Amino acid sequence: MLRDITLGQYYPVDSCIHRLDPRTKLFGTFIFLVSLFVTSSVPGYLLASLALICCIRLSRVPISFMTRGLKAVFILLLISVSFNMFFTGETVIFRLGFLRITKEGLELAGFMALRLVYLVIGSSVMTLTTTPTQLTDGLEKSLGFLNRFKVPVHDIAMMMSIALRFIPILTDETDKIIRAQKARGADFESGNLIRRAKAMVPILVPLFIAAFRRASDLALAMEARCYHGGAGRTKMKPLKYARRDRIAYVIMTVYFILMFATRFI
Amino acid sequence: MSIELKNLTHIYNQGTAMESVAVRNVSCTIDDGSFVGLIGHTGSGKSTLIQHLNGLEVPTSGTVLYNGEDIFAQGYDLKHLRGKVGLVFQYPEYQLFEETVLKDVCFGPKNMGLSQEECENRARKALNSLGLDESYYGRSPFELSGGEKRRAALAGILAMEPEVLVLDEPTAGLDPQARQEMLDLVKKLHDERGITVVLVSHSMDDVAEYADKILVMNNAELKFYDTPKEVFKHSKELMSFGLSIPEITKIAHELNAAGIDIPTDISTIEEATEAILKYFKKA
Repeated sequence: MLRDITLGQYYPVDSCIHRLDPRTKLFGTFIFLVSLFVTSSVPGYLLASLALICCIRLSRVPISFMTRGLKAVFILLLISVSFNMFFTGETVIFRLGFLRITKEGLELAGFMALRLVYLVIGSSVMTLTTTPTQLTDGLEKSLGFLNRFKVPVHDIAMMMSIALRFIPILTDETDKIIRAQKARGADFESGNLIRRAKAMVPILVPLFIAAFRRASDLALAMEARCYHGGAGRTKMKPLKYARRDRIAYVIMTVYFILMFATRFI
Repeated sequence: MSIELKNLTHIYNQGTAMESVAVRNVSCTIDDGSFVGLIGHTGSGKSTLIQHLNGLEVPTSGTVLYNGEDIFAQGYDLKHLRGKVGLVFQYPEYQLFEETVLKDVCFGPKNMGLSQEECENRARKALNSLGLDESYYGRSPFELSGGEKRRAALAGILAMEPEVLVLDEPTAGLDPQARQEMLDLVKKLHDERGITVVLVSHSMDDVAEYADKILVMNNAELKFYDTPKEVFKHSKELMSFGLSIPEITKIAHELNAAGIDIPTDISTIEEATEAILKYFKKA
């Protein structure tokens, strides 16, 4: 039941998307997200769909994994769609009491829904094809210029990678605790809301203790290896752009120009 | 009264790149009142296998019969089953959560719907049988020592008064003395109360001394399921699974190779002593 979280869930296959430099992928995702907001016409979305489908096919990750992240934003999607549908626009198509559906509203709602869905799938493509370590390495390098403004980029990146690394660990831990308490006859599925909330106590207490235990173990292990922040630290696998990254950048630039052009058709 | 596994197969993440077979086509019967040692290398599928015994894992195919009834059939009372087949996970002390030891041990019986008084009676009985006396009842489980925590967690399962007790590596991380105590406790429960025991371990020495049957898993498959004597005859295959034979059996093998004619299917120190004495008397 805890396997639905796509965040930080790397899908291990070998594909050209997997092999790209994380910085390229970060930039690509960024470009894709921006492009969704640049355009608001049918050809624009067709182009975005085409790009997304190509990326998904190239990544060789099953589509069902991509759409898993959508479950989490479903409610948000529902709210934003209904707001747009009912409260914007002039040309009324359908009216029921104080609710009215307009042509403009319907269009806006449709684009909004597409935008949200593409946002989620687009970022899933990145997280599914990039390991958390690569991802934070990429972030650290891309945001390196912030160091000049005294932003502790390395420390933030390290915190992020630890947080990401802990998600699967704590998911596993939760799973184990749930099983252990179930073996003692605990019931998490029946009863009203209050009873169910109460039933969480036997999970949460051991989980918190486990989280603190692991955090202190990790801190100790890092200190034992003389970790003292980013200064002078070298990488075992330094990031390096290859030819495929240059090709990817060219494709991204062309894509963005085309997306921008759709504004004027 | 027995547990019967029928062509049990369990595949994780079926149909994805992470697909892995944890248990493949395992069939066997765990008789009532027996003491079964389940042995296998890390990742051989033993932890997955035992979670089928109380219905925590649902098999991909095959099934488990408890007293002749299919536990995965529609409408089977799994909660009741979990009271009958007590499963003690690895490092069970990590599941302690209540304010006091007594309350924590009461959690299981309470979930079975027993009265407060009955719960506490059972909890006291379970704690006492594990050597945790009255002075522990009111203490926080988090301030106990490692070995005490483990016994308190075990008491939490025992208080449900199961007919079958499944223990996953109950001695992991314990010092030699606590380890011996834990195994002796399990043995005592088996002998005195007639509880069926399934003991998961990767130490042959532990299992050889206590179990009357050994089940060997390798690579998701059941390889042997027989008495220790029979299983230890396959010492070469056991080695190839990354398992060893008990130290004492090794010694018997080596004595034999050195020309001292004693049987090689020895699995306990007592047997070895007897065999060696017999050999020298003859000589």
